[in-house]
Amino acid sequence: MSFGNLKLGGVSLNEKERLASSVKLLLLWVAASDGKVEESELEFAASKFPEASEKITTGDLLDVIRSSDLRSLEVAIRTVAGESRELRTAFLDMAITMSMADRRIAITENHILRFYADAFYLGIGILEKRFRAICGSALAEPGDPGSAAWWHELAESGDEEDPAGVARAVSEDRQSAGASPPPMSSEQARAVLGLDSFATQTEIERAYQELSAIFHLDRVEAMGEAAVAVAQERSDKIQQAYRLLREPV
Amino acid sequence: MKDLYARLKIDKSADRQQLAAILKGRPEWSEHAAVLLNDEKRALYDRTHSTLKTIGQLRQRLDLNSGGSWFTEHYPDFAAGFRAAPAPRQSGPEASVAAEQKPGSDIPQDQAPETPAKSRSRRLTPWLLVVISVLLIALLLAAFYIAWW
Repeated sequence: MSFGNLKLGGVSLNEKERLASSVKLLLLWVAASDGKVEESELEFAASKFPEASEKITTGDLLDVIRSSDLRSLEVAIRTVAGESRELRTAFLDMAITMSMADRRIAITENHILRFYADAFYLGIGILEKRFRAICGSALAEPGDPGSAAWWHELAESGDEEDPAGVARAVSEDRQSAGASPPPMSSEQARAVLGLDSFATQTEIERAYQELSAIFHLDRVEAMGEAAVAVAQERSDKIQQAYRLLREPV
Repeated sequence: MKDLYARLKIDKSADRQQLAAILKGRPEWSEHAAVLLNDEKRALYDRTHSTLKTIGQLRQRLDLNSGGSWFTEHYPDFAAGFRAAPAPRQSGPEASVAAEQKPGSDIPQDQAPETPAKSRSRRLTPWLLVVISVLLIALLLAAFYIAWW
């Protein structure tokens, strides 16, 4: 594979294919960075990102990540970085959503998001703002897992069984991908909309409107099937949460 | 976060016995030994280490390390190509690791996708040429008009 020079199997990628493959690769890097690039991860990625092209498969992209293929990652980053600010911001939103797919943001995911914010000329300030808008909570500092003090703090916070998690959950567990999801509880619905348990009806309406705009399919369509798949899944959850929480008319 | 392997000058694939032998008799490393000698804690440290290493190298290829940034400030051990101000010589875990010198991007410039700034300047150049040409023509016409009168 030579994704690095924008070709695969001797076939050049056109502009649209290159953007779609780049977005897919960079979203997969977020999803796979927590160290679970195994068969289940591949199935998850395949179910979430249906193949739109036979030129570069999800398996090929996971190979790029497994082998830390810097050249391909660089091409993907430069490709997305060359797009409009609106599209780069929309990509960051999808990456944030992807990082929270398993109910928590891992340290590695946190680092990658911060890197994307810099590499896409958006900055940490925008990342923090978008993270709060989508998750309803602040983006935590990544922490230092090389220090005993950090592990001690983690044990004291009672989060030891989830050492990589430092922010609260907002979406369904990725393990449930493909299976019919269990009914959403009121607490989960509030988490999906980034609200606390004291949120008023006006706050529910406002969160629904804002998140619906963020995950509107028209906003991400240009980035290809992976971004659309992430936005579609999140959009469905937002609808489901809103239906559960809104007062009957 | 520090690159503990680089500071210890030991390969990342070293097993627990090798690490224990190196860390033995080095009390200044007790803070990190508790992590490196615990398989579960080391696994998370190693994942974060790999991610930061990749990010540091990508940042260098994208020229994001050269001017200094929050990354080079907080993660100097992983900021490939970044040269921090020389620090006093130390031998413990606080001693800084000289940033690894890696080559920059190997993608030929004519193949590398453009950054927004490059793309913007490329879009602006033809317009600038048109405006300058129109102004020159107008100037010439005015000169002829004045000379004719």
